[in-house]
Amino acid sequence: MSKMNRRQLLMSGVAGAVVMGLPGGAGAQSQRPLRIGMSATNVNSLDPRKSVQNADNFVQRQIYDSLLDPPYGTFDLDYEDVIKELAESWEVSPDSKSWTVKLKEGVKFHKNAGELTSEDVKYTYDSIMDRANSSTQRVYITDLDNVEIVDKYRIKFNLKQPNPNFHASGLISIIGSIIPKSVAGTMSMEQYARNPIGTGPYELAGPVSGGAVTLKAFKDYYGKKPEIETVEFRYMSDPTARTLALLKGDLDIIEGARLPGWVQQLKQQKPDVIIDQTRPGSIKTFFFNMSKKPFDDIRVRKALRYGINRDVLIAAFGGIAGPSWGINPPDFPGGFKEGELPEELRYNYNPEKAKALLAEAGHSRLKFEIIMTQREDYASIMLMVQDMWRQIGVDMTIRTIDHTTYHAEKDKDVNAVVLQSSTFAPVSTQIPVTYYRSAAEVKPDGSGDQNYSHYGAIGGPGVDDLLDRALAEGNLAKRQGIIREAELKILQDMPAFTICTLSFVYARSPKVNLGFDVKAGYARYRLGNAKFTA
Amino acid sequence: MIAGNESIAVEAPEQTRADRLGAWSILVRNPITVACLFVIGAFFLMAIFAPWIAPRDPVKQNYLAMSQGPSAQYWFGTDRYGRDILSRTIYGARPSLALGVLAPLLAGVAGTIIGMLAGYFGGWVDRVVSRISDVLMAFPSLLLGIMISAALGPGFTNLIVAISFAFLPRFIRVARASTMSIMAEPYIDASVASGQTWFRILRKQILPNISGPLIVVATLWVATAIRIEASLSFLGLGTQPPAASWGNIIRDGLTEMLVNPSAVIAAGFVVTLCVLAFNMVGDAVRDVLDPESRD
Repeated sequence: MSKMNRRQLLMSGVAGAVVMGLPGGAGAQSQRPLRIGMSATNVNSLDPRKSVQNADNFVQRQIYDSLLDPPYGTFDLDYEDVIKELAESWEVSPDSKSWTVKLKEGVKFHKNAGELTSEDVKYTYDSIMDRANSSTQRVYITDLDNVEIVDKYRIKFNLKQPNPNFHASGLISIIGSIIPKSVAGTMSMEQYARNPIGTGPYELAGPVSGGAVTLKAFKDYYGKKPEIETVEFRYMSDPTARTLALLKGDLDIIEGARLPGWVQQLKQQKPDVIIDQTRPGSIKTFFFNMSKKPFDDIRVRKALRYGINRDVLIAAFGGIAGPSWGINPPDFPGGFKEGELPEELRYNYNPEKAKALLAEAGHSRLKFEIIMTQREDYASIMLMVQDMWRQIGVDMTIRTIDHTTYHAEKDKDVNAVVLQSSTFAPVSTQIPVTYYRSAAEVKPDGSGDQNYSHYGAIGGPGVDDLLDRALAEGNLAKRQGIIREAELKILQDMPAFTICTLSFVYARSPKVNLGFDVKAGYARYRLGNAKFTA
Repeated sequence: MIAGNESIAVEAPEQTRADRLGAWSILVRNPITVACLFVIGAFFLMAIFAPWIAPRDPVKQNYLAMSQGPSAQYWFGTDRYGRDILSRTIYGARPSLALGVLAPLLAGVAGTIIGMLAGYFGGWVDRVVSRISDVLMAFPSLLLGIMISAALGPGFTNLIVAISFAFLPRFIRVARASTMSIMAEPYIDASVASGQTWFRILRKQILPNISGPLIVVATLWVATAIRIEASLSFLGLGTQPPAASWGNIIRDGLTEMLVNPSAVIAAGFVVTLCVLAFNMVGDAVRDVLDPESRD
């Protein structure tokens, strides 16, 4: 017994917990691999149709080329600026209901899976639209009616209604990643998730293990061959382990921790580190579940909104968070700037008003419990909001669970207050339609979508009509006008609100040059042009 | 059938008050043990009087004083939300000690009853209890604690259940083995012959004579319970935010350990000191109560 206790005592040292997550030292290699640490525990799926986590999307972005994409490092979606990866050219009909893409010729798939043709494009989109496949990308192309093969290299996307932004929702990565039709008969979607075949600059180098993926340069790539032969992705969910691995030189790029002060602290340790930061990054949205009391009461919802000090929360993140006055952040086309909103819809921090509204609603001490993910960006925001709400007499108890379980539970309508984080293309309709339309209402069996407040189904008359009108409008400026009208109504009803934006942060060794500067975009970038500078 | 069994003297040779006083005097003869007892006492006082000792509210955030190192104002510095680490460390003693005492106590009571029944009745009761405890023993306590916490969900009550359950087989084994060895004593035969009920025999004859080893086991597992509480809170399965526990202070401090290690050092130090003190006292109690090691 005494031996056991001494051993236990030794085990109680905290240093071991830090060291456990570290990868082993890299051996000397003639061809140096690029090593990247991602914030996730395990590979989930490398099939773009089934992707649920950003770490997998980052890997997919190297394996697949997309039909179109914003210029690297940006989220520029102007027709004349988007770059053509698999597309040789593209055109949109005057009514924005028909999009035709001409493919590059001679593009080869990895693993001798043949040449890319319009058959493969049709197969990819048909399989996304097939409800039986439960593709996570289907929600982005609900306005797509059918995909029509014009000839071997020409394909036409016919929409149900005009959409001048279809390229943003349907043709750029990850959804625009094309899968070879030939895999349909040779492996199931589950098998394909671990054996992806694309047309990108890198292909899978070996079997996918739980927490590691190795890619090698694709020798038959149609474009410029990558300078770095091998890229290794390591899935490390612990931000401290990733940080230490970067400082030690075991990793070249890491997904940063979106925590208050993390960037500043890393720079103190490694002043020459390069921080790649996307703006606005992910949109953090707070939902009040209007199907649960007392959140059906508009006074309670407004009180809780007034109880949040937006400025303090953003300042705490030290330069990676940004404000959002309306539903769409000010960085998006048509997004409200502070001065454009009437005073009462800016919801500036006002704890006295919050307390008065709660008292008026008959709640001197409001108590409720929620579940929350452990992921650092969600947990930080919730912890700060919990403290702010405590000041206005609201006790929110947080029960912490792991990230995957949180998403599963949240989608079953269990929480009274939901925090959701997503990255959207800068298109004015995407956030309102995804979060505030009654058709997207969350359902207890998990079959619903992301309207966690039940807005439209409960309250919010007229907003569905406005959103439908916006979606049917082919003129972009008019579209934005209708969306702004809907936003004003949503702000008035306060079923949910955009609490802030939060940049995705990657920390990169100064020895790695990406070939472009990261300013905006999704939380992933291409490595095909990357090279070591030292 | 013997009538009037109260006339027959079959009482077991229980430990006398003098024996216990002797054990205590041996225990306090060692200065290290005394020092450890003082440390444990200090931790309990700290936990009980935390609201009066702690200089600040442990959950109050202060965005004007985020991630600060130790200073005259904040002795242990502040975390990334501007919370006072000293106050959090003081309050963190509460879940750790409450769990450190409650989990072995609950496991001790339940495990002793089950183990005594298995040892006394033998047969299928013994076989079922032994196999179940064998299965539970196959899992390390921490792993079992994680599994049960994950199944029940996080929270203090669930944590007590999880750790008590993880400790249960340890007490069952000791109680069963001790009961079986005492069952061979002539005074048990005499008690049975005198017509005493099994319940009275267990309570009056067996329990007092197996209490020594059980107290030793309980003392030694207090330290383990504190360590497991810290580990589970570190993993997010224990004490929930914003409440402080030594484990979650270390967890929160880990991401800023490189520039502001005060949280990790402070909470790590108190966990180490507390576990060490309980272990040393546990070892000393074992030495005193184990007859073979006594002069």
